[in-house]
Amino acid sequence: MKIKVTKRDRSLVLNLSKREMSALEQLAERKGQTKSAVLRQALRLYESLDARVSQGARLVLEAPDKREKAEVLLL
Amino acid sequence: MTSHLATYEVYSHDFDEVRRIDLVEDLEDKHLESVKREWSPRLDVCRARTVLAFCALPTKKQNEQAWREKEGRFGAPDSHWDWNYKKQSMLGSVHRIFALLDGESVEALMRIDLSKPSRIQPTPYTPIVYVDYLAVAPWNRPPIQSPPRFKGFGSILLGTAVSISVEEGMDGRCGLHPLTQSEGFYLRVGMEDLGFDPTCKLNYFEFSPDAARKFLEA
Repeated sequence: MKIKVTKRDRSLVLNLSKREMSALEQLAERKGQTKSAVLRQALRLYESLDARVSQGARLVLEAPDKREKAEVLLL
Repeated sequence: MTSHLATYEVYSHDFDEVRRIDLVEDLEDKHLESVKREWSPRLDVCRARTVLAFCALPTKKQNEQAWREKEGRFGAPDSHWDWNYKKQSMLGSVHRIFALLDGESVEALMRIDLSKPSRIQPTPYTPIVYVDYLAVAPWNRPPIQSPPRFKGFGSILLGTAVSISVEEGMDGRCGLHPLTQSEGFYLRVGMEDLGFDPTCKLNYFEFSPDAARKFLEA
């Protein structure tokens, strides 16, 4: 029943520094995903947050003990 | 503009023949108009029957559980869903929408969200394909039409969601909040019931990678 759903017919050459590549590799390792999958997920997350923030929502990170909250500015 | 993904040959009880059903991504205006023209009047009737049956109950028995039971019995718990809005409110690469078409007739619809985390994977924030909405046409629902025109469209669309999860490196992980009367179907295909979710007052179900693999191989 598995079908091919997504046509990936656009490609991109991405130049990264050693540090950026290392961060990407560590994320991929930790998430058990390919580097491409991590980047696609990051795009979706950024797109989703950007849409909410554009509508006036605030992005706030709360410490585990809930004592501190900090607003994250989406650039 | 829709893009064609696959064609299935499915027996139709109404036509007494095998029909070619196309799985497509995205909807055109003509599809949304078809849903409004063909689905909505039937679902509105079911909704009215649900309200009448609910109101006929003794006041003491008019509770949320009774309402859901009546919704399931009359086959239209989704009568308030506005597919035009669901299409318009899609966000770039986060949401995707799919349809099963018999020619111009819309037979089933599904919208997915690729920004939600798994709830059974021990590693937090493991992404999954979340099925936002899945519905088959009124004539494909046994409570509304028996026997239904087509069967098996829920499985095809769920298989599409799981296939995307595999393609996206999510190992088939896929979650949803089924409407109460559909819970049995999702249990039968191997999804795990993770219990009541108070945020949407429905149980949450999810495919583990192993269960998703078995489902795709079935």
